[in-house]
Amino acid sequence: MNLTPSRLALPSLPRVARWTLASLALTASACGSLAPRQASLNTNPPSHTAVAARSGASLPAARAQSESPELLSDAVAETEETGRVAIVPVNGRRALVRQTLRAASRVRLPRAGDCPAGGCPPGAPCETCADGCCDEDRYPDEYLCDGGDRDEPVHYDSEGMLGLDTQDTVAEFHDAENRRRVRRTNEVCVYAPRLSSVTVISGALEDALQTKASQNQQELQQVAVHRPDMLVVARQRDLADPLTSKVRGSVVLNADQAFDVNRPLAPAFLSNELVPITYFDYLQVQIAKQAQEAFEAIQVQNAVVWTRVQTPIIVAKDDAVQIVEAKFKVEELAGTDPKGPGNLRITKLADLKIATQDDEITFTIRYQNQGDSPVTEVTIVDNLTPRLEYIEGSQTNSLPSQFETLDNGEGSKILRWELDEPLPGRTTGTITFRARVR
Amino acid sequence: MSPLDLLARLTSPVVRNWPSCAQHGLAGAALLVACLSTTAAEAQSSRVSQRRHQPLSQHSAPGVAARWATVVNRKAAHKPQPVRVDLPDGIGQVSFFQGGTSEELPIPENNLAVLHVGSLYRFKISDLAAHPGVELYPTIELIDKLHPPCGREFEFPIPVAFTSEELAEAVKGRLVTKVIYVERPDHAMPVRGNARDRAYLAEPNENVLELAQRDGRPVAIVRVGGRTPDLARPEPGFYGDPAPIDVVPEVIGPRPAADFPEVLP
Repeated sequence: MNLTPSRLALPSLPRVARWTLASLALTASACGSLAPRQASLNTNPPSHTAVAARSGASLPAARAQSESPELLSDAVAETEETGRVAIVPVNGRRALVRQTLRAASRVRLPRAGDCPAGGCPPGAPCETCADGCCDEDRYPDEYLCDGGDRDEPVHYDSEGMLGLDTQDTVAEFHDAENRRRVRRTNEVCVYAPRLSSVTVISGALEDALQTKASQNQQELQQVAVHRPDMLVVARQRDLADPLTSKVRGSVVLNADQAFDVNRPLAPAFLSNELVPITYFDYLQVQIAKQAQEAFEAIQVQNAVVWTRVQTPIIVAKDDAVQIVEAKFKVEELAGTDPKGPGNLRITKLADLKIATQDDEITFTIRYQNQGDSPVTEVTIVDNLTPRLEYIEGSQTNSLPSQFETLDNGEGSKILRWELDEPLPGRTTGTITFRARVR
Repeated sequence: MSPLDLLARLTSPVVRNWPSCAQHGLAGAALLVACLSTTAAEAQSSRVSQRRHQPLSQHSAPGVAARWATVVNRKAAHKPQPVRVDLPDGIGQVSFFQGGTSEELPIPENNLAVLHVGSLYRFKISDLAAHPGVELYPTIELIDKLHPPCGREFEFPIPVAFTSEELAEAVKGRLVTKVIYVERPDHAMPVRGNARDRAYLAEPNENVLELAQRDGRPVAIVRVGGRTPDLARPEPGFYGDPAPIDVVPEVIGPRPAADFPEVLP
């Protein structure tokens, strides 16, 4: 839940009031997570626990600013021991929350595109190595990714698992309370762009009829491109004049046809004409505001002149100071969730950063029961992306399991491992398999 | 001052003498109309954006798409991108015209031509096995590039793979326009093979740039037809833009192993 002031839908309130309300909401969220508990989001949710850190209002602002990052990092580090950080709610520190989330909430996995140690080699045509070049987030179409839970989340209905898209890799299990749970892996990406082409052949043909047909089609497209010209043509009234002309020897006028000719005005253009009105309102607001400020300035100046002989004393009150005193500071750690009744963590890795067609990639899936209690009916499912071809007989599992492959309907395979035995607490298993890049 | 008060003040020249409640009512109605009109405009623009109108097509003049790319995609503009020209059966000679002049720069076998995004290049294909004595003068314009890891740029050229059918049509005097694009991984065909195997033919009335954009990200446009240089009256611009060209050997480097932690990260 994002409780920034912009999400509070209170644009009319002053900035101070909005931040105060946000602080209250965030405080409630943090206080609610102090007691160890597990939240239920849906029928088969991932469990969420929290480690909270707080401070009193009496802490000086400067001291709190210098200490809070370390304390917050401790809270994040402690949370990472039991799972992956999802949310770090901090009151009144908008920039700190954002930076901390970026730094701490992501599990750093090996990925393609990392800059070489020491920067780019001399003479290499690298472009932006200094600022983290070749980030696959910017060009995802050049990377072959597998793992995670793409698009529709994996869920269940009465007939079984739904939402298992290609590229998804998940593990399902039953915890000690016999509740079915699903965990997804991280997304692992390998740089393997694939290019294709589409060709069109045009020009003079021996069959003249086809040439004429394609030429007519092209003319229609050009008319559609120059749409403003169509509007001009539609507004011409000279077409209406001949239609309203009186039929010689008759008293009937074709007035209805004239209205039909004038009627077709595209609604899109009508809506566009509203835009300048909106801008005009905005300009009016600015003008009114500036004029009011100037008027107030003149009044203040007059007041100073009129009261000069009375030696006035100016009293100022800064509301912002009160807000600083009310900030929610990080001071102590309180509340942590124990390991729980059994929790599965699953990670996926690839042995290559770069691959081209026909290269073989070895994927490793590690699953670990991080809880103390065993989990049962552990099943790991990997729906391969269409560009990965599973190599038959290449899979291994460190724990006894039943393995099967299914056709995913998109030219690739669904790999499925079902453990024979419950997975005891604090136990790790490893699955490996190879896939060929198409 | 609330927004309603502000709107009421803005409409004051018209309704200055109206009661306060009437002014607020008019201001509220104006605000409602503004919101509804904005919502309708956004919905309309959303429908338009989903259609992904492509103003360019194969009928656009050579070089137009490249010049537009330098404006739209400034990060890729004028950046080098290796290109590999593949001929049927690997037989034939490829020479690029460098600097927009008739000076030829032969591209040896297993070499790449490093072109720049945003420029139009012309090259010559000769010594074809199926068409001895025939010279073709295709053009290529780069509108985007690949972004491999640093130092691995020469391992990922853009393949310009001609089929024998395409060259045969060009020899007949017809215009063959080929748009090369980076496939979207989730829409890729689950087949193996090279770029020539994955190429498909579009209908003449279809916009190949729009098709390429539907299936991926267009990076290059190649045109080959029966046009030849007029040596008696040289045409300005026939040999392309005066952009630099480099020739580098193709690299097939080792596959770097990923950092493989012994414990769970």
